[in-house]
Amino acid sequence: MGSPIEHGGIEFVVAAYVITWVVLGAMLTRLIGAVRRARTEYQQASKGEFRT
Amino acid sequence: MSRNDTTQFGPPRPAPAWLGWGALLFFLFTQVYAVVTSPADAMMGHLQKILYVHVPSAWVTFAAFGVVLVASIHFLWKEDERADLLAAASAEVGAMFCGLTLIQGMLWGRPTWGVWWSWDARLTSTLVLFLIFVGYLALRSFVEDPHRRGQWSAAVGILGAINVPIVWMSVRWWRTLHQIQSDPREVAPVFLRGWLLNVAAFSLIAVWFIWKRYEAARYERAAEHAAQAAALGGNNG
Repeated sequence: MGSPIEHGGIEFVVAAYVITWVVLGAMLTRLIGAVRRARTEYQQASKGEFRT
Repeated sequence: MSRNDTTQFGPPRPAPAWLGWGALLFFLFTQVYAVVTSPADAMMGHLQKILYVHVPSAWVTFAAFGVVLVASIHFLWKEDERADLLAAASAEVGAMFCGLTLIQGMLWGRPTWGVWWSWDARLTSTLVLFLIFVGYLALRSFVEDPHRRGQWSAAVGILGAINVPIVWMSVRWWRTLHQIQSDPREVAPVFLRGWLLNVAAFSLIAVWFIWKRYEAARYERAAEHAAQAAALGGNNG
């Protein structure tokens, strides 16, 4: 009988990779959205269309 | 009025598209390469593959908090708000990678140590590091005055970054559960290649993320300055 690691580790490996990709993807989406929002805000403010 | 209150700067230089696409494609390549080419380890089996995301995440955490340290000192010294915004961008990205490191570590610890969490020196000091930078980000959201926000968060950022060498040395100072750092010279090349490639890929991703976060923060500040200038122009006219 092999060690529990050999036979029971794959799901932990998959979970580690999936969580990593999901978190990085969420962060990337958030950053792209933040840049777009801030750039639009800046462009509006530059034209004097700023919100009070 | 402090010098910083009068700091005026225009829109930022956007992160180049080649950096983003390059980082993303390199990351995808290194992830697949490491998983496909590395055989099962004699002791850990396929669990060793978690180290291709765990070790790079930890490395990027330390590097990002190193940037916070340098940028915070620069802000306190020169009162350049751009340094404060860079520190904040690095802190946010670093905190995300620190959280990832903790989760990946728990996923590694459960099958190898038999527990999801242990109050081991390395785990505890990493959790403290994570909480300090979560506090740093919370502090920034509470303080409205940019200069005061910069000063207070720089102080917290420097204190937090001082914790990095403690986290690094914790496995040597307190021999508890977490193993000490592997010496790259003693790691088999078949494992080392994937490891180093992923450290490089995660570093590129982190640079890109920090740049994007800094870009957003610079646009936000530039918009505030433009709005103030427009309001002053309107009042004078």
